[in-house]
Amino acid sequence: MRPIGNLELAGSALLVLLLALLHLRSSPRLSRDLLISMLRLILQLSLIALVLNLLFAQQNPWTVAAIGLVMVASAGWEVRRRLKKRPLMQNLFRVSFFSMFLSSYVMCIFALTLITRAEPWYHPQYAIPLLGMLLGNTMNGISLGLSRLQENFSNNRAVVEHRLMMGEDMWQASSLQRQEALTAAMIPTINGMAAAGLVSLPGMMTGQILAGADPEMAVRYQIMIFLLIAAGTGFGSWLAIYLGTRQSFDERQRLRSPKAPASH
Amino acid sequence: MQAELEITSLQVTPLQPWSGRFQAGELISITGASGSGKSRFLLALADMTAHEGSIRWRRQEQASLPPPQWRSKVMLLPSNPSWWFASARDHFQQGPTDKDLEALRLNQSLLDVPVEQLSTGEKQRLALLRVLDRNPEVLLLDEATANLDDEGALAVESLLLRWLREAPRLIFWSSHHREQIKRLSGRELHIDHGCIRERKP
Repeated sequence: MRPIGNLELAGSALLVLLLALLHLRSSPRLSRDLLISMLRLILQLSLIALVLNLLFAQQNPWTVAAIGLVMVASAGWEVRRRLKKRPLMQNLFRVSFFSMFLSSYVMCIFALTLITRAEPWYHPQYAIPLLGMLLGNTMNGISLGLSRLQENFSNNRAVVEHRLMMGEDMWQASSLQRQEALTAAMIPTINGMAAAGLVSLPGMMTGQILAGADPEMAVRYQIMIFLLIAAGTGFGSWLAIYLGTRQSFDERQRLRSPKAPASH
Repeated sequence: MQAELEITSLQVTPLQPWSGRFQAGELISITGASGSGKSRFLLALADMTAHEGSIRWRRQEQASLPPPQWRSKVMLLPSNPSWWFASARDHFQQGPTDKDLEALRLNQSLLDVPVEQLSTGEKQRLALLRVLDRNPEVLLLDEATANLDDEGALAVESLLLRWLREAPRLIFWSSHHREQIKRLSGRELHIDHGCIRERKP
C-alpha cells in the first residue's frame, strides 16, 4: 500500500478549494458551506483515526458500545435536523433513535458473531466500522422514510381523515401513506444494490482495493456489507414508520396537526 | 321517552357549551353562516376533533368506545369527500345496489371509471352511497347536496328519507338551502356567534 502523506492530501484539498473560489462571486453561501464541510470532514475523520487507534489498543466491549451509542444519538439528531417542516408526530428523536439503535445494533451483532467471527467478536477493528457503515445507511433510510411519512400525512390529511370518519382505524387509514414512505426509504438501497459493480464501484470496496487488498476478498466483504445494509435499512425504516405513525395520531385516533404543542 | 342521542354540555371551539336530546327517526338541520362552526359541531359528534362534554348514542358513551367503532356508528360525510383508490368501486365493501344507484340517477358502469373522470356531482352522490355502504346508525352530512342541481338534490333527499325509516336512525344535516331545510327537517339548530339555538325550520 502506497502511504498518503499530508502533501498528497493537501493536493486533493486544493481541488475543492479551487471549486469554492470559482463560486465565491456568484454564490458565496455555497462556497462557504463547501469549505466548512471540507474542514469538518478532515477534522472529524482525523479524530476518528485517533479514537480508532485508542480503541484498537484497548479492546474493551463497553467502550465500543458507548462509542456506538454516541454515533446512534448523533444520527438521531441528524434525522430530526433533516425534517424541513414542523413535525406533526411527537417524540421524533425517540422514534428515530430507537429504530436506528435496534436495527443497527442487531445487524451488527449478528454480523460480528456469525460472519466476521473475530477474536473477541466485538473487536473494535470490525465492530466500529461495521456499525458506522450500517448507521450511515439506516440513518438515510429512516430519515427518508420519516420525512416522507410526514409529507404524506400533511399532503393527504383529507384522505386519512375521511378514512377515519368511515370507521377505519389509524393503520387502515394510513396504509397508502405508510407503504409509500417505506418504498421511498428503501429505493436508494435497492437501486444501490442493482447498480453495484456496473455503474458504480461501492466506496468501501474501492478504498480496500486502493489500500492493496485482494479484490475478491474486497468484493466478498462488500456483498456482506450491502446485504446487511439492505436488511438494516429495511427493518429500521419499517420500525421507524410504524412508531412514527403511532406518534402521528392522538389517543382518540385523530391525525395530529403540527401546530399542536407537544404534550409530553 | 328515552332519548337515543344525548348530548350533554358539549364544548367545542368556537361554540358555547350546549346540550340536546334527539329521538331516532329525526332529521335535524344545522344552519348558520359559513365559518360559524357547523362543521366543528359535526366533527365533534364524530369524535374527529378535541371537545369536552359527553355524547351518548343508545346509552353508549363516545369516550368509552374505541374511536373506529364509534365512527362506524356515527359517521360523518365531509363537504369535500376524498377518494384514495383508483375506481369508486374499490371504495365499497358490499357495493351499491342497482336500486340505490338508480334512485340517484347513477349506474354500475360509473363505478369502474377512474375517479378523476367523474364529475363533482357524480362524486358527491357516490360518496353518499359509499357512506351508506358502511351501515352507520347516525349520519352526519356536511353540505351533502352542495354540488347538485335541484333534481339531484331531490333524489338524494328521498333516498335519505327512505334510509332514515328503515331502522332506528338519525340524520344531522348542514345546509344553506332554505327550502330544503323547510321541506325535510323536523328540527333546526341555528348557530349564531358561537351560540347554538333550536328554532322552527
